[in-house]
Amino acid sequence: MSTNTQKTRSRIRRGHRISWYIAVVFSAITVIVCLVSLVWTPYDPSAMDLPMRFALPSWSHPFGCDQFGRDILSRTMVAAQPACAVGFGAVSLGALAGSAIGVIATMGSRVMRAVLMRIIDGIMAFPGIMLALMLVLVMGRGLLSALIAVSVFVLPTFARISYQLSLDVNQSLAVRAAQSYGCSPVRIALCHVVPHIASALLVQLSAAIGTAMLLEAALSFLGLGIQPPLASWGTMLSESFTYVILHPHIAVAPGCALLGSVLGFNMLGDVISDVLTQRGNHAA
Amino acid sequence: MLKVVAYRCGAALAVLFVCSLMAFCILRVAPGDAATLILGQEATPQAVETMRQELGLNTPLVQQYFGWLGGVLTGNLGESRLYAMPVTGVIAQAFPVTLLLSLYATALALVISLGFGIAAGLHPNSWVDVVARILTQFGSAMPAFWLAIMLMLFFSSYLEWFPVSGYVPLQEDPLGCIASLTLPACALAAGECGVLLRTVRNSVLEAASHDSMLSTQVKGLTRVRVICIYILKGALVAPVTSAGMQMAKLLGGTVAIESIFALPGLGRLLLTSVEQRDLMLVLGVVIVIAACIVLVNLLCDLVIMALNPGARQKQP
Repeated sequence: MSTNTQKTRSRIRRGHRISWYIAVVFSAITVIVCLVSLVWTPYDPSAMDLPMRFALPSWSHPFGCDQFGRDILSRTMVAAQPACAVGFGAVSLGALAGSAIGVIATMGSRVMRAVLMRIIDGIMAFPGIMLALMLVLVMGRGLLSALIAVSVFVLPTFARISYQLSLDVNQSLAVRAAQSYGCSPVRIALCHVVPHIASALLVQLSAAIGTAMLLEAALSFLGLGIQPPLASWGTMLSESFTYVILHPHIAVAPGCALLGSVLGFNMLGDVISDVLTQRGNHAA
Repeated sequence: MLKVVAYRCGAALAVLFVCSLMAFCILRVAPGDAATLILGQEATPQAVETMRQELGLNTPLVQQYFGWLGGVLTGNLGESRLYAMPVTGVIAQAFPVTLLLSLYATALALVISLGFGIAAGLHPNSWVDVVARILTQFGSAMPAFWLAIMLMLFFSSYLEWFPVSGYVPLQEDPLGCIASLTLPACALAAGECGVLLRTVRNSVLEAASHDSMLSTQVKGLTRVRVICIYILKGALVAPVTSAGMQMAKLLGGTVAIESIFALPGLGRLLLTSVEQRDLMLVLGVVIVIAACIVLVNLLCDLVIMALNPGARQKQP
C-alpha cells in the first residue's frame, strides 16, 4: 500500500473520529442539561428582576438577562425539557406507529398495501410545518398537540423505510422457512422481520430526533407550540425577535442551544450507521 | 413506458385525493365542531347554530366533502371569512411572492451545492470535501428562523445593505424586489443546501469512480471533457430533480421566514388563517400547496424516467 493512500485513510479515520466526538458530546450535553435543569438551575427561570432588564453577559449572568430581567442561562437550560420531551416522545411515538404500519402493510393484500402506502404518500405531500399548523388548529396550542403534530410528521418516514426493508426480508429464506413451518404472521413479523430492520430504523431514529426538535422550535416560534411564560428555545427566540435590533445578545444562547442539539442528534445518526456498517463488515 | 407513465399519473391523483380527504377530515371531523372552532368556546348556542347553517354543517359529511371537492375541481375554493372575498383570489395574491422566494432560495442552494458538491465529489477526502461535509451538517441542523434573525441583524441593521423587512412587488421595482427577497432566500437556502450538497457529492463520487471511467482514460480524453460530458451528465439528473422537489416543499415551508420578514406570501397567509380560524382559507391554502407538491414530484419522476431507462420499472 502506498503511503499516499495510507495518509488518506488515516485522514478519513481522524475526520470520522472528530465527528463522532462532536455527535456524542453535543447530544449528551443536551440530555444532561435537560436532566440537571429538572433539579437545579442557577436562578429561578421565571423570576423577574426588572432592574436587570437586557443585562449584558457577566459573571453572575453568563448569557445576560432578557426583557423581564430573567436569567437567560437558566431559561435556556429549562427549555431543553420541552425540546427533549418532543424530540424523544414524538419520535418514539411516530417511529413505533410508522414501522408498525410499514410491517403490517407488507403482510396484507395488494389492495391494502396500495391504500396504506398512498395514505403515507398523502401525509408526506404536506410540508412538516403545514401539517403541524393544521393539527394545532384543531387540537389547540400547547406541548401535547405539538408532540402529536411532530409525531404525525415523522411517522411516514418510518413507515416508508420499514415497508421497503420488510418487503425484502419477506422474500428471504428464513421467512419462507418459517412460513412453511406454519408460523403465524404475527410471530414472523416480531421474530423474523423486526430484528432484521431494527438497525436501519435506529439510524433513522436519531436523525428524526433532530428534525423533531427543529419542528417543535419552529412551532413555538410561531406561537403555536409551547406557550409563554414556559421556556422553549422557539418561544425565547420569538420573544427576543421584538428586541433583537437593540439587544442582540438575547437571541444568541437559545439559537446556539437549538443548533447544537440538532447538530448532535443528526450526526449521531451518521455515527450509528457507521458503527453498524463496520460491525457488518467484520461479521462478513 | 406508456403504462408506467399512466400508473404514475394515477398514483399522483390518488395521493392528491387522499390529501384533500385528509385535510378535510382533520379540519371538519376531528374533535370539536367547526362552528365552535370558529366562534370560540364562549359562543352562544344560537350563534353556533346560525354558523352551522351558514357553513352547511348540518348536511351529511360525505355530501359536504364532495360538494367541496366539486368546487375545488371547478376552481371554486369557497369564501374566506377573514378577507370577505373568494379564497382563490386571496391565494392568487399571495402565491407569486412565495413562488418567487422559493425559486430564489432553490437557485441559491443549487449554485452553492453544485459548486461544492462537484468539487467534493471529484476530490473525496480533500479539504473541499471536509468543508462540504461541515456545510452539509450545519445546513441541515440550522434553524432557518434563527439564521434569518441573525442575517437580518448583521446585513440589514448593522451593515444596512438590505431592507429590514417588507416586500416590493416585482412589477414595480425589480431590483428592490430582489433586494427584499435576498435575506429570506439565504435563510431558506441554508436548509436546502444541507440536503442537496450531500446528494450532489455522492452522485458525482459514484459516477467518477465507475468502471466506465477507465475507458475514458484509455481513449485519452482530456480531464475537462471527461468531467463535463461523462461524469456530470449522468450524475446531475438526480440532484437537480431533487432540487425541484425541495422547491415544491418550500412553498409550504416558508411560514416562519415570511412572518419574520413580513412578506405577504402563502406561509403568512396560512399562519394568519390558522390564527384567525378561517377554515375555508386554511383548506384552500393546504390543498393548493399539496397539489403543487404532488405535481412537481410527478414531473420530476417523469423526467428521471425519460432520462434513465433503469427507473422505468413499475413500482410494487
